[in-house]
Amino acid sequence: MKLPRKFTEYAILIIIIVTIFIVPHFVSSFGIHFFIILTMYAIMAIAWNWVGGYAGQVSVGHAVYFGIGAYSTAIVQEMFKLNPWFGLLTGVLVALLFSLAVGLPTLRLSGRYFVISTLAIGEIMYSLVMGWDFVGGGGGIYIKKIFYSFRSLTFTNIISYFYLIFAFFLLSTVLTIWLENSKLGFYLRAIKGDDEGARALGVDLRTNKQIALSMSAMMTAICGVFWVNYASFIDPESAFINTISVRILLMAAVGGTGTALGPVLGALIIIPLTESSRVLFGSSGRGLDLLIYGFLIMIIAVAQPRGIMGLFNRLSKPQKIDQELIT
Amino acid sequence: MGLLQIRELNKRFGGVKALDCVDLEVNQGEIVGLIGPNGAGKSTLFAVITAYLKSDNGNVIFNGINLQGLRTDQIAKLGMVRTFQIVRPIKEMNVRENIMVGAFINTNKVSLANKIAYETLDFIGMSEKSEYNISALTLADKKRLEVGRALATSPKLILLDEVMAGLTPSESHDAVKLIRRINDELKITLIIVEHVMEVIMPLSKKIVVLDYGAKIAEGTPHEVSINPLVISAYLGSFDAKSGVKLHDSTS
Repeated sequence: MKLPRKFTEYAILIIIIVTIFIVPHFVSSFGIHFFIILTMYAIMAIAWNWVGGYAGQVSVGHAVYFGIGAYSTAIVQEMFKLNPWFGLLTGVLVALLFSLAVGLPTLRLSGRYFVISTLAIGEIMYSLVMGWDFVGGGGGIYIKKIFYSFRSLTFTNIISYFYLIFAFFLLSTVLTIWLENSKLGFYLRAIKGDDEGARALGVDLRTNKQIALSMSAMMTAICGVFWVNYASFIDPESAFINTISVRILLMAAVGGTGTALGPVLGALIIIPLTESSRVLFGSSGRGLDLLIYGFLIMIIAVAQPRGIMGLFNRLSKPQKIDQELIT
Repeated sequence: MGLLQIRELNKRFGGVKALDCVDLEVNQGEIVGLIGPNGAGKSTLFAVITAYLKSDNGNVIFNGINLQGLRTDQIAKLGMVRTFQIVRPIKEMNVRENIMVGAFINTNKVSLANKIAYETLDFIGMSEKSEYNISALTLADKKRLEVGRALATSPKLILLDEVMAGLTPSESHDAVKLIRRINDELKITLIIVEHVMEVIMPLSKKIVVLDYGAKIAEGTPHEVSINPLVISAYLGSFDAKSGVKLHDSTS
């Protein structure tokens, strides 16, 4: 009974992934830029979903990991003049260490207290980097592109950037499908469902939550690393601002948390909204996307807490229960 | 040698002595009944020995290992699991997946956990309900599932907290049969908290009675049932001469 529904979900997911791969080959360079943004945010929504969706540890400060990835690679590349691949490694490693440092005290907290702690950490990091002159303070860091090659993670044609981020998109999707069908996935869902009950059955709450958080942090940091090399510039506004955190959370929530397909669906809805409001209203429409976010949060909270994936389940579930009661 | 030894266990909640110097020894293969009036400390005892609550002092030794400082999940890995008075299935998972969570304690393989889950479902007689949603289960089935999840961890000792509360007589008859089979066929030791005396008396060879956190009696069901302390704890004592009710703990 369970398998076919999951099969359908995976099939839709694969169709979407293939479409996302094919379409950029037939659009303008701005179109490719759009797909790069879409894919990057989809990765972050997927990564958020590991800890926020499956494990139920809702983070409203996930931009922190994006910013940490971006800044550590920017520092390594620009100030120490090291290879961007080394920057990637550094970004992922720093994010891992940071997630351990953050997880140790905060993952003991439950429910809304954890949520508030993530919000606080997000704001603290934003303020810290804002006032840290070594990394340019509010002015940020520019990356000078000298070589254009795969080795230095810089490309002359924009489609190469797309291939790069698409590879990470594939990686995150594969990881999600692995997670859903692994012991870790079962344990995370058990923790979300009932952590006290899970404990009685031998589930180590802290370790499993920490693994989910660290996985998520590292994947999000990869997006930060990518963004720095793509945009050649990073400042606190584009790295640590809580709008990014809200956007990440919203994508997963709109699509449906705790599902493989949900975050990708969410990205397909939220990112076009954000980008089109930017294009249509330009600088005068600044903040309009935030208005839309607020509105969406209200709708989801009131009407459909399980997101779009919840609608699917609602359609398929009633018949299922009836059948079960008859047999 | 005893599988579980509890020595001078104390637990206070502010001014209330929830556990007052409790000693208990449970041997391999036994079914021990734990009874007492409401608020006697039965659930607190379960919570303390499985490390949900920290004891103030005293020792719990399970299978030769002192449980001091161990977490609940580590204790479960050693082979002591508890069930909850209020059932706690994971609503987002179906019956089989709920049992798989327990089965993962001894394996990292999903296929093996799945196999253990099917075997457990077969044992508890819920095979045909393996793909049910939790919301489609009756209370009796939910309690059965709770036991199944504990069984899937292949424990040495299960602490059953009122698995028969709220069941109809025929349902609790089935539950008693299941408990007997767990003890006979799987050789699992059990400590059972239960309010229904007709259920607990024939089931266990040894009964332990708690009142106000202290152990007031221990012995065979017959010994316990004629113990004046137990009778007074349950019914309140009555001074025949003056006709004054001296002590009433059940109200």
